[in-house]
Amino acid sequence: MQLYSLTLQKSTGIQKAIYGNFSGPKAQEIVVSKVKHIELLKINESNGKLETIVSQEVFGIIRSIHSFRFPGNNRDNLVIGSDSGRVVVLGFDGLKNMFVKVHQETYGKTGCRRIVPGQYLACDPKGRAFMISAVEKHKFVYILTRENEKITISSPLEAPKSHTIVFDIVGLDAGYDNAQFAAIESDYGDWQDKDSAVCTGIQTKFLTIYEMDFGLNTVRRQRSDPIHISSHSLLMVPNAPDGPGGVIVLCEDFLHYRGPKNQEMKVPYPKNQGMPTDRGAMISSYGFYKQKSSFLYLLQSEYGDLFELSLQFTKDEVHSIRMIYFDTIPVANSLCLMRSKHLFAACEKGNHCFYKYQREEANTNNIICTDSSMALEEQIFFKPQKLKHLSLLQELNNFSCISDLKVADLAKEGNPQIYICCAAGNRSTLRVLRHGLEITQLANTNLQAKPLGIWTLKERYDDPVHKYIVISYINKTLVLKIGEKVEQVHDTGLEGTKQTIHVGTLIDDSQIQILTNGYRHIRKNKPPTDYIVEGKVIKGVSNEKQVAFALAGGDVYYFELDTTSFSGNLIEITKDQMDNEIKALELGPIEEGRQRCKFLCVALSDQTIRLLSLEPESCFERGAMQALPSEAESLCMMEMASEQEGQQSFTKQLFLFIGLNNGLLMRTSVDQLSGGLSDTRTRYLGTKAVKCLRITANQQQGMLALSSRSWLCYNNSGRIFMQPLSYDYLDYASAFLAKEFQGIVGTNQSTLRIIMPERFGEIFNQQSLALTYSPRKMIFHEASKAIFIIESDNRSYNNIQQKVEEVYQSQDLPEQWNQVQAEQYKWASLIRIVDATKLETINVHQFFENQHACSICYIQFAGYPEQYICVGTVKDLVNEPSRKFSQGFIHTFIYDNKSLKLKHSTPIDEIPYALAAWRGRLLVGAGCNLRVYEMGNQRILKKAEIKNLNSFITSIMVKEDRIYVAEVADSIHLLRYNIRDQTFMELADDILPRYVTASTVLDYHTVIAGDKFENIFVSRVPLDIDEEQEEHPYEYKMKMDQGCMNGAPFKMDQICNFYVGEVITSLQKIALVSTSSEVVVYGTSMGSIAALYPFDNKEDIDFFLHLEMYLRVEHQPLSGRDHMQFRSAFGPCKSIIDGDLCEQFGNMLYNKQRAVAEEFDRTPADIIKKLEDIRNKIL
Amino acid sequence: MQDRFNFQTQTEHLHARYVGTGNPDTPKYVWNNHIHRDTLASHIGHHSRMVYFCTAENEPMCRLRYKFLTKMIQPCGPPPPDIEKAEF
Repeated sequence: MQLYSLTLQKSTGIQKAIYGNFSGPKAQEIVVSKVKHIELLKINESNGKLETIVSQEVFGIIRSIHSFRFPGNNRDNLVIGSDSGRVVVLGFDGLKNMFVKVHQETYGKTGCRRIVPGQYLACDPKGRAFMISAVEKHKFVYILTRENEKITISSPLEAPKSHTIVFDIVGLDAGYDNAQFAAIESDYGDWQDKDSAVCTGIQTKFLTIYEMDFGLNTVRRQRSDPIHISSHSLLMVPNAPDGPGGVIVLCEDFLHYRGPKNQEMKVPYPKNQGMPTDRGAMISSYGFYKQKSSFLYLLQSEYGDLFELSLQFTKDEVHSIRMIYFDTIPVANSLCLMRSKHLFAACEKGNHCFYKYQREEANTNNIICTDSSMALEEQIFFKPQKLKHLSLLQELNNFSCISDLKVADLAKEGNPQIYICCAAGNRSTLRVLRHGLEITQLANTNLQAKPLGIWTLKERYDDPVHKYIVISYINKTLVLKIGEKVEQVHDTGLEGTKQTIHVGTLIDDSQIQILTNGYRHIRKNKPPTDYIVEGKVIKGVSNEKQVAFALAGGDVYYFELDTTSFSGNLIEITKDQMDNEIKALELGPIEEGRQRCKFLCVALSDQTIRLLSLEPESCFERGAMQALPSEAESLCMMEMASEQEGQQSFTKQLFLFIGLNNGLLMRTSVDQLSGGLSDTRTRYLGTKAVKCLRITANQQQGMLALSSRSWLCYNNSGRIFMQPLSYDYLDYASAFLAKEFQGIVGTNQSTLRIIMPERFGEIFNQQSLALTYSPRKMIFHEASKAIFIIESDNRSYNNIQQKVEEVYQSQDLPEQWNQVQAEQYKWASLIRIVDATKLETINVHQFFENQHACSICYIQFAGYPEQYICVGTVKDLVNEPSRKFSQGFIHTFIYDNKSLKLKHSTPIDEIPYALAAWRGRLLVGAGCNLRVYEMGNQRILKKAEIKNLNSFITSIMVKEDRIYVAEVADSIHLLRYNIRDQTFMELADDILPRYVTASTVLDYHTVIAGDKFENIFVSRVPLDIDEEQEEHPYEYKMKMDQGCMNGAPFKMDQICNFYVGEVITSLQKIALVSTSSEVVVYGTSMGSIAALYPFDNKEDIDFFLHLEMYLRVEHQPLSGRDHMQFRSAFGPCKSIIDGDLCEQFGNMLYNKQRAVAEEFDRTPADIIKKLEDIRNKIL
Repeated sequence: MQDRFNFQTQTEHLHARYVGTGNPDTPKYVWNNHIHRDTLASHIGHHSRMVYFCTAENEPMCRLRYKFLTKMIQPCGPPPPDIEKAEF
């Protein structure tokens, strides 16, 4: 088996965000690290929204990222600490529009190891040096220098200290003296030393200052002072002339300032009333912004409260430090304060928030603040307020962490939807993702009959908006005027009593209406001219100056607007008879500076299209011809920015779109000069014949294709996207430009729809439903279109609203992000039924008494007619230091397609972490035991059990007579039930003790699973074990009883292995498009959704294997990691091709593309087509 | 003799350079400590795994990272009294 791995939705969780000027001086940008890729975000000037400019794959694990500005530069550079054992300095190349490596230096082993630096980074504020540190022992300092206008770094200066754990490092502002770095270190000592921390358990922490002596080129430990045991982060304080200098040590519940002259000050934090009683507040992130003469800190506690930190100082002496309560927002990983008075919060859980920041100078009585004159024990409490200084502008999607993902067509739309549980405490959501553009419906009105065509007309050719909608019926034409309201008009001059074939506006502001018997040309202040032909006009087309129509039988008439004599007449240039019936006609747009479009494109009933020349000297001379697999339905010729040139330049390319009557859409490149046709790509759109037409989308030319689904082809930041619209199908449509929007007007049966596509560039559109606690698992009940979700959270109360009111003693509290937190290991959980069609909660059942719901399944018990939902819960669960609980429960609910009725709860002595229905009985993974239960009247009844499997069971999958059991730390086991003596036999197990997080059965012999160390793997049971066992029953009976190599008699083979780089939390085998083959879809903890596609032919495998091989060499990963090594981080990469790497082909320089393509004897366009094809097969 | 001496210095160098390199006389407790510290450091280094743990525990990441770092100091509790004897 060979699989192709492709990310459909890149990860959305942010590890770190940095504000700076990367693409140019004074460009206000944010670089975000999403572990496996980095993105550059910028505020769009026109709408004030944050937009992604560049997103670049790293093919490595970013551990830390820091910006610095080299002296004399006006732009920031980035330095990355990753798992590559190398330090990489990046710069942003504005021309190529991508991050490029400026310098790369190898220093150690690869991987995220304990003693290999890369975990922490600190830069000298003056940009002269940076320190890179490991979690333990090693620290390197690199000096940045300039060499021929390029930044290079010196060889590393080491500052190791064994047995030392580093909590944080920061670069201190020492002006232009020797650079200084501060670190929080804790020494655990040697185990042989009886007084060391590892023996006594008494920890000490030190603030160590490292000095980088530029003169001597050495690093030395300047001093090391004991600090409070709860110290966890460091903050740099600017030095003279802007500030006093020194460092702030952040501890639990207070901060500690250390000045350059050993001045010390401590400030307690103001306290949120809703804080849990068993611990204080840590600072989770901070934003720092420096203006010319002042600076500002915004600190955020782990409960989401923001504090403004201000220092009153003269020269290098600090008089007082104040912490003022600012606002409360969701807990963020990083805060970016921007010069444009914006605040970007990269939230840990839930959507990222982008705020406008307005410092309100409140009167001093009203503020809640603490300062350095207070004793540390003094407590000042506050109630979280409504946002006072901040106003939310925008939320950026964040699915992290996807705790469950399931794909099904619950809404019965023809194509499946992706349902994801985004676990994020009190910001949890259930989201429904649909492949396609989000659509806003602006109007939906009934028409008298089913129309046969719809067009929009402008009053003048260069008007920005449309004024009329023309609707054609079988024997009449309706003209609607768009004004305050839409109403029918008769004064336009358009023929209203006949069917219209085509309507258009010419460049002299006259209108052309092609009817079944000819055309009508309507000019300003002149009577309309009619041109009558014998025969029936079936197709018509026009552009600014040219008009053509075709008759039944194959006659084509061609006219041009007479612009030379200013008469404004349409002149018949030529007519001709084609050999076959004409199916479609198309005139392209007229290129700037040209008289006419050079070709008329004709689709014929012999399944061909032909280009006819329109040049005066060779009019209607037959040009290029292309054969089609089926008859054409429509044609559309237009210019779009070509993707062949990738990101280097936006050259325009003329495309011909051909909609076929079997539902295929073909796209062919047309040579503007010779009219040659090349590079044809095909895509299946739907079951109906495809009509394609030009519209305006995303401020540019786009193409709308109508079939059983509508598709939009548009350009977004230099790339061509082809996406379905998440809307009803349309029979006919036309572009609709209005003052406020660029939309589409169309008809669906006998209704008129006006719609507007939104959020261009996003692959999925989403709907979401807020949940109370973190969702853990979900199941579907397809018959009643219901979704069952179990939600559960640590540190939560059952009646959260009541508790909030009780703690804050107030009825009308604003919606707060950080609701009241309970003590450690206080659980609250519930089961929720959601109506999938309306996406709303129908019913909720809470579990009280500190229960944590951990498993759910739908079951039809044998002998009982009702439908049952079983939920496994555990009471008083404690995870740390070792797992403890008082009781497990299995609750059985009767489900009547609407609500749940508790039948009974059965206490059990283990944690029921996995449930599965199996032959009308319930399989329960109770701790390390697998049990079978049957339904009883008072409780469920245990029927069989296998005890003491190797580790805790996390999921049970049933495939015919085989039971696959996934274990928390021992991979997957295959069991079989022996009916005669009611026992389980362990048939096969894995050779690696994997920490399985998600798994699913692919077929009778094969399972796919993801583990905690970010791998995905496929294991296969040897195919002949059934026969083998039948042949030697006693031998295997004995082996099973005694165990073979401490395990089952058979071992699974690992047939695929791949390092994903993100923890896989859910897996499913399903077809994402109803017409394509099945793929494996998975969701990860970082919020990405990806698919594994099984290849169906050898040729493709060979092609992609080689493409991957070439790209590994040609496209070196940004972090300096070797791609092959990265994908083999925990085990050798096997039988899975990295589609994300293959897709990098499109981002390479054109000559590099050509060089690679030559190795295959192909053109770059062929390779891009191949990549596109495989992507289209998946989604 | 020269070779043996060389080997000695090489292993010493290895031990000094790569923390966690053991020898046949490494007690179980010390080995365990190294394994736990390595695992914790790996958790801290992989952000996606930290997100996974944060979700399970409903804790902010700063708290969890701090907990893991603190745990690295004494991951397996104090050394047992008969540490030298407790071999594999």
